[in-house]
Amino acid sequence: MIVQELKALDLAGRSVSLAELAESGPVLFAFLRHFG
Amino acid sequence: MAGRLDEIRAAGARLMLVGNGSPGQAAKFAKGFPGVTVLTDPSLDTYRALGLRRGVGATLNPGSALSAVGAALRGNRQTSVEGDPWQQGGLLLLGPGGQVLYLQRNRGAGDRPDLDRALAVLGVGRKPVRRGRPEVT
Repeated sequence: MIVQELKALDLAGRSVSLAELAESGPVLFAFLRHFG
Repeated sequence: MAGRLDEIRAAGARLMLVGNGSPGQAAKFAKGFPGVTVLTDPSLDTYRALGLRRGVGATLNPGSALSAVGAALRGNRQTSVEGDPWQQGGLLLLGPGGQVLYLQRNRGAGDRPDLDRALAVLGVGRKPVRRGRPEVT
């Protein structure tokens, strides 16, 4: 797994890198089964 | 998990929720979690890269049925599925430099994120795991 390739979309639909989000400190990403 | 936000922040971490519906569905969902960043991955690419399970068997099984009954008894009712109905979740604790500190892959729909184990990696509560090796379940 290449962490730098992990991406998601923000609420505006822009692609964001999970690794970049964690650059300023640890981030706990809770992957949900689905919304709702 | 969002109910333990203070604990997560006290450990020096931020919580972000990642679903797999559309950005519009994510925005609607986010209204229920003020102060928490909500992201989405409709492509499921990141779910796959993390090895998170997906399938009918993981979603519909005796364990998930028991969990659903338990949730219903606690007053939690699932109203709709906005995203992939067969995708399972998990927990990823990522540190600076792209360091995977903890990864939990849920086995089925009844699995819950083990926040205590994730926070233990940050030195909260339980004895921290060995440095340099992520804990993967």
